[in-house]
Amino acid sequence: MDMMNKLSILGESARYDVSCSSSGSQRTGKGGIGSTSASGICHTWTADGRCVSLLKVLLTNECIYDCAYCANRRSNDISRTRFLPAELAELTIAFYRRNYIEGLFLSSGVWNSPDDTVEQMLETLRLLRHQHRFNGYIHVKAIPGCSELLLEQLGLLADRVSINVEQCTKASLETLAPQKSFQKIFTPMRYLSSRLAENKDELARYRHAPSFSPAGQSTQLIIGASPEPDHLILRAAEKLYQDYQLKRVYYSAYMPVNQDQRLPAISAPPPLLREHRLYQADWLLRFYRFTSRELLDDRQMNLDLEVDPKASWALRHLDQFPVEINKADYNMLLRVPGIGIRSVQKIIAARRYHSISFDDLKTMRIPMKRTAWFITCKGKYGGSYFPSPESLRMLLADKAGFQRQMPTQISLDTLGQSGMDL
Amino acid sequence: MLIRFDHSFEGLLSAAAYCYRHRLNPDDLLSCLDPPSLFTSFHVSEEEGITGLFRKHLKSLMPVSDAEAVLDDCRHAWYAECSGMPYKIMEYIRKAIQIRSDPADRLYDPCIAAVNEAAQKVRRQGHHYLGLLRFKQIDKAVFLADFEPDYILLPVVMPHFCDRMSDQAFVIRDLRRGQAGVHLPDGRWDLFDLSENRPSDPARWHLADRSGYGHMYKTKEATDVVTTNQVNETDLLYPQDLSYADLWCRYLDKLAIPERVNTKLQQQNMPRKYWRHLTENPDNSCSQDSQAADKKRASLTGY
Repeated sequence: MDMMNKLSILGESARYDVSCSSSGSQRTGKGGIGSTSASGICHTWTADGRCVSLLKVLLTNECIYDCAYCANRRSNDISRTRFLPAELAELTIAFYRRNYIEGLFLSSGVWNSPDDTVEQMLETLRLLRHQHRFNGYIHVKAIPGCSELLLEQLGLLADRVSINVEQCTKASLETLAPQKSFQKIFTPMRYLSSRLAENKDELARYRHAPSFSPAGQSTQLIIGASPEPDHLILRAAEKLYQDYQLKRVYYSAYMPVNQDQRLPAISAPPPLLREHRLYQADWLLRFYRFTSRELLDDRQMNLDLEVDPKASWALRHLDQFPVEINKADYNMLLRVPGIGIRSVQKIIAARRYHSISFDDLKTMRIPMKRTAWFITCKGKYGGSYFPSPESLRMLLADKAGFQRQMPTQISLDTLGQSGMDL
Repeated sequence: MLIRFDHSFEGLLSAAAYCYRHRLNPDDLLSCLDPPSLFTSFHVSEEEGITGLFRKHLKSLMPVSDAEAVLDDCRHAWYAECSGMPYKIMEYIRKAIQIRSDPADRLYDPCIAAVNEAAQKVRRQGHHYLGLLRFKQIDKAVFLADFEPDYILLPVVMPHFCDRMSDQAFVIRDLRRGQAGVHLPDGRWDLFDLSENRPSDPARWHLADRSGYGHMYKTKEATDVVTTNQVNETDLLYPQDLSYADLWCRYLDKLAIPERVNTKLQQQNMPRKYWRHLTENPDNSCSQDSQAADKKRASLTGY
């Protein structure tokens, strides 16, 4: 099979792995070709609006596993092919020289056994790092169940090593992916997190210590393939951050690729808005000092689709607002809907010198549309009268987006247009 | 009274230093390339090593990182090529010296906010171009990239690519300003005008300020590439380059998930003005009719 076909098939198979970042590692271009930038660089955006910064491919889409949600599962009848390590390395370097990509994202179906697959991936990385002297970014997905020796070698060559958790509860993993197990997934993750902590210590002590996976570890959860509510997913993500010190948890909306009784119908719309709200909640956990219990609990099991999670929290705790901009502390300022971390830092820096008014907020380019309802400046309230929390909620809600998400009221006209068979 | 300075960042700093030393408060600060005015103007010529002088002075007043941040903000605001910016930059430096800290903490001041914003715009587009520049192989060992930035971005973009492709000879052309940055495999790089046959007058160079860059070179091959402003695109491509460009376009088509096609989001992240020199120009892509796919996705998911 020629290169064009191989790249089409293996690129298409890899597209449901949403991790795309090339950040977290800083390496100069000395002695070879390539460098990495700590903040990551986006090279292009595909037609679905997602950023592309790495050459994201599977080494092979042959797989011995039969996970229900996967397009490459053993029981699907699709074209199967493999890259040879040498040709993939050459392709990566050629794309890199033309500035199409920042590096390589290498995942794989399980060919023969996890260890055999990882050895092939290692061969590709070795060719890139040692033969081509490639200093760019490499993100490699380890296969659940592979040995620690291979993980160690992967970490010394790649910038980020990660394993996908995919399902957040044991029950759904056993239903949808019976050949994987929590033990096979979490044992390597535990090894990686302890090795990363060890390496941090080594780098501090020894001048020439080699770096082990400098950009850390990340993972992915699939949203919508199994019936867990959002609060379980968020709780799982929080635990992953705490117990394994992950850099990122990615959320991938389940795209109906397979006809299966265990999965949603193939005509069901993918939960894109839900995925978006989960990313917003994930940011709140990582940067805004929220806990998952504050955002969601047994009473509110799913994230509000109409308003973002921070505004939803604020609407449920209106007793803590309005916040005085000139006096509130960092934690409370972070919780005001509409103010992000940069804006909070600007406010805190500026108010040391000058008492801030609404005009000053405008000069500082702090967006006022949502924020005004929740703040006072020098005692003056920024919003106007609202009769109840529900009316404020309606003012903040992303009405247009929400109405498109929910099925429209059934009428004789819409039946014909949308083509839904009811 | 107006003060005129040589059209470069160093010229601007020299004028600012002159005003500072003589405690002058000019009505406006204009470059010598700006249109002549009825009012009297006084020309300040560029000083040697003025940037180093400012850096040293600022470092004596505030922490090193703050001093570097002030100079970076000023240089990037200069690259934004806004009218009225030189005067604001001079005020910015004056305020930095007066309050002995980074003025970026005090964004409630409109002048400081304007300089900061201009610098942010330049840095944002500069960072965008780090990813959006596309190189073509024009010779066995030479790569070429073109772009048309809104601001002066060659000095921002060149250091990154010189580090990234340190073993490669390449040329990056700014077609809007008729300038090019050339890098040779031994590590030397510099900026040149496209229209002339030899490197232009040193006073008109916009050199990166950090030491280690800006060496003169005189080899014939790189100068030849730089001199041709009008080149026929197909003539340039080295035979194998077309196949890599095709591979890349096909790969990107396959990478998009059809149920998630959202051309509005794609354009929001990557505005049309960048598409002209992209290898994978979405206007030319061979994927399915994107408008139809957009509508289908919108009707299914509402997002």
